[in-house]
Amino acid sequence: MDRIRGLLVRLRSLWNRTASERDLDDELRFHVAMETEAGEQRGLPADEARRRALVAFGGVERFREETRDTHRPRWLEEARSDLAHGWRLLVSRPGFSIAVILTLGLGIGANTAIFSAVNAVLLRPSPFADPDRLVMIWETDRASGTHHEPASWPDIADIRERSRTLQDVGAMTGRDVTISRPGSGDPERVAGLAITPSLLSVLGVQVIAGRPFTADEGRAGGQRVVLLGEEFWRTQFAADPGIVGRTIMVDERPALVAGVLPAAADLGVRQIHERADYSETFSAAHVDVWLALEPSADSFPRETHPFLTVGRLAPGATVAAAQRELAGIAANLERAYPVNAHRGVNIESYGSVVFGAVRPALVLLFGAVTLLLLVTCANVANLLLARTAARAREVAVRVALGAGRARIGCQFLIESLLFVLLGTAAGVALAFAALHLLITLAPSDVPRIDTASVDGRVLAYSAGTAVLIALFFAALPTLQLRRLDLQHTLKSHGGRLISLGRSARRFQAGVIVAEVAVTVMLVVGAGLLLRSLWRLSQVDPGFDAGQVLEAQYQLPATRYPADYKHFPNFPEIDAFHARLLVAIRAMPGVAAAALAGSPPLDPGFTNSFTIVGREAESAHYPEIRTRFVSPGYLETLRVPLLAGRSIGDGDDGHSPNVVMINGAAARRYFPGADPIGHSISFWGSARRIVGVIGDEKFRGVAAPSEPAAYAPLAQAPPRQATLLVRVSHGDPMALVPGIRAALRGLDPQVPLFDVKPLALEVRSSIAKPRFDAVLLAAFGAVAILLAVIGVYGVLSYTVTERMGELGVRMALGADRWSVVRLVAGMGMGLAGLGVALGVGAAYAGSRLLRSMVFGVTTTDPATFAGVIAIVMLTALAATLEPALRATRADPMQALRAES
Amino acid sequence: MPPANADVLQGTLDLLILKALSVEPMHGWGVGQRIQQISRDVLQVNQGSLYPALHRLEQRGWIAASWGASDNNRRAKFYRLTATGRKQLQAELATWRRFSAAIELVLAIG
Repeated sequence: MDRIRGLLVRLRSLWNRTASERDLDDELRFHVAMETEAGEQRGLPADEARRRALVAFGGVERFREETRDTHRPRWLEEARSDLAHGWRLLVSRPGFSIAVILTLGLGIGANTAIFSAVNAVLLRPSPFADPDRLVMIWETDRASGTHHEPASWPDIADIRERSRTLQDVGAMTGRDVTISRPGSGDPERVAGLAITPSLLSVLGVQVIAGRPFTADEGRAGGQRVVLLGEEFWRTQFAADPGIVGRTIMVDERPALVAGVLPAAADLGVRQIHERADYSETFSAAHVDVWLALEPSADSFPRETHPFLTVGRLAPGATVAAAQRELAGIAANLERAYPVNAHRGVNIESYGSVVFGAVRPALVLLFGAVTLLLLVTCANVANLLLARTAARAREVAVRVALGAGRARIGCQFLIESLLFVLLGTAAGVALAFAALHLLITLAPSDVPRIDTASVDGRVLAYSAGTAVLIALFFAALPTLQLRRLDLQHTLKSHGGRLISLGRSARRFQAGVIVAEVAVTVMLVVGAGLLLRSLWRLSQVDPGFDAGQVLEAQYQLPATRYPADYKHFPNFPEIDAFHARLLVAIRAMPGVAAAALAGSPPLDPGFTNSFTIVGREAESAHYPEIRTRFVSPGYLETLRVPLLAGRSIGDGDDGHSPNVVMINGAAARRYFPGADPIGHSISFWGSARRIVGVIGDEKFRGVAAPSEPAAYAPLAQAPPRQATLLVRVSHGDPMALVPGIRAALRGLDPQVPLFDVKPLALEVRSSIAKPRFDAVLLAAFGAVAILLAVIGVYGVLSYTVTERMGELGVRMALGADRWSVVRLVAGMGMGLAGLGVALGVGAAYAGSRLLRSMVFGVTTTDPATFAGVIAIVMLTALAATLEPALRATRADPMQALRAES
Repeated sequence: MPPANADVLQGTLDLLILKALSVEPMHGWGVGQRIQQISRDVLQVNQGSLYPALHRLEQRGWIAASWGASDNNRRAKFYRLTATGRKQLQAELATWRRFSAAIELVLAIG
């Protein structure tokens, strides 16, 4: 404690020099006054007393010096003066300093921003206990070749009971719900997740208010219980802990709020749903409402596969051991139950499912931004190197006056620290600004990206990077001036630049070559991703999204019952759909409207099917993608009708079952034959093929179109439907108020959600590749700019330095053109070497991009050629000014200076 | 001026200051006076060493300083002993006693 107080006194005297000096003066003045008074009391006259007091004291300055010495150790005093010296240097050449600080700020800022994202997504601790012990349990189907199918409830129950390698098993499935609060506007559609109570303990997450589900909650007939997601709790209930124990209306039925789960508890839910071959969709950023799910074999028989299953490995068990054991259990189930024919299991670690898709992209971006930082440092190193040459005289003087190597090195370190610290500060400020943009731009299915922030770890990373860079920069001039020739330097003319040594010059050339090489690598990566993004954006999704609006709505089960005894006759549901379409089509400006079971580009679901008359053969066909559409679907989306007729108003629950298939299905299952008139069978009944239509994309635009069957919506009316409306002109979103009014007119309790232009859906389907390509392109552009500056800087310096020699050459008869060739050749030589090295490295390294490109090979010759051309041309542009300046070398002046 | 006086021995000044301050907080001038009075003017503290010593002790955390009013109502810097300083005084006293006893011994026998 006392020691700390002493330290504070010392620090205060260091930084607050004038204040501590004033204290000292006051203290001395007091002493002299007391001494004078004492003298007067002994009978001396006042001025004599004062004189003696001062004499007794000795020189005030000497005393001050001695006291001050006790305050400051020598090294601190030296550091202070170095800092002041460094600051003066920095301020004396503001242009140079700002260039260095901004360049560093750009490199460090981009690096810090990307590291923030890497930190938030990959490095932050998992919200789950022991996340490495979590596994995903998928079912496989050898018949259809699928490896990521959700599991059936009886299979999960059997696995849970028989497995020894799994400690426990939990299951989930996305289930959007409608939350209505009487007297507070339209009901709201929110993201729900139905889970077994065991899932919370398997994951190891704790509630932040209330209690988790109990083991017996969620059984049919019991009280309905929900947990709220933290985000939803904060925005909808103002984080009121009093909500626990109250009842809210979920899908128009009361449910008890048991507790609140933290926002992080839903980490991976979306990625797991996306990984599945098929599942309920879950595309929200967070789970709003957690529902208790305790299904029985009755409600979910063995042939339906709705559940995404998470297990926790038993102590000592490995993923491989679990795979072996569960494969055995699956084989037993296969023997016991005919519906389990061809079924197996696939165990994957939870982390690989959640982060598997995003990790390569983040690592790529981080690698790219680190390369960019290297380019930045190379540039700054060259700037500093040139400056050191200009300062050789200063250093020589100091060495001559007795400054040691360590002393000089220390000064360079402090100077470079000053630059790097200011650069880092600029960089972190930039990162704060860029991070917001990054999060907005990032595809929404990157887990936890919304939590990215400049936190302690990020700051520590930036500081660490800064220190490394500062040490590097400080080492440069120290090495450079190691063999400084004192005699020569001190004797040389005052106004002339002192040449860099041979080794420094070679180093500088090496830096340029490396900088260009790294730039080429970055730009090749950016070029490949941009070209594949272009290819992706050119892919025809199979429909025309322009001027189409999509929206979804959900009919509550309470008033729109689906009695499966009368399938597919659900009169209430059917009537609502039909009346809505009539109302929408009557609106002015509507060119066409239709309903669909799932939105375009949404994978929806698949079904096993057979071709009537070819049952034995078709038993081994993979499942077929199954869509339900209303009449008008083809017109609304402009999907071409290739043969037969489209679904009409007459195809309803009372008429014979019919179906349209797409071209892919026709080619695959009816090669060389006309499928019209044949029947396929799924969901227990045969459906006659009446039409063949164009191929739509289902799983993003990059995946090939799969075989699909389109059944009439009226022959299997869903409660949740997608409304598609094409307008004849103008912005389709202008229709939204009218559509809402129409919906409210039919039933005020039905929420409309996911309202957006269909074109946006298409665009966001390539959000991830666009994000990667745009960022990499930005890095590439900055790298090119920096490389140009680097080449220019070095050439410009060289020309200035060799002005004399160039003048002599011209005096001896060299023409301008040969001088231009000399200078430009020097720059292009360096750039060419850099490009050659960079192309080689990019050729070897671009295979890392293989999983990220579409429609181009990673060694795409056109991309490589384009990059070589761009980099060489910009390098050429950078050599122009120095080359032209060289031709203005004045022979006379050169000769005079040499004499 | 008394005939037999001495500058304070190198190294003992810290001890004397700590001892003087162990009685009550004092300003710098007072510390000098106190040492001089108690030693019956034998020990004279050179002001040029007194203040650097005070500041050194303050930085080590053995004494602490604060500004206050002196007897004649002038602004003065008062020093007081800290807990660490009190411990240090004990340690230095013990060292000094051992040291002076040793000297005595050598002188007596020699």
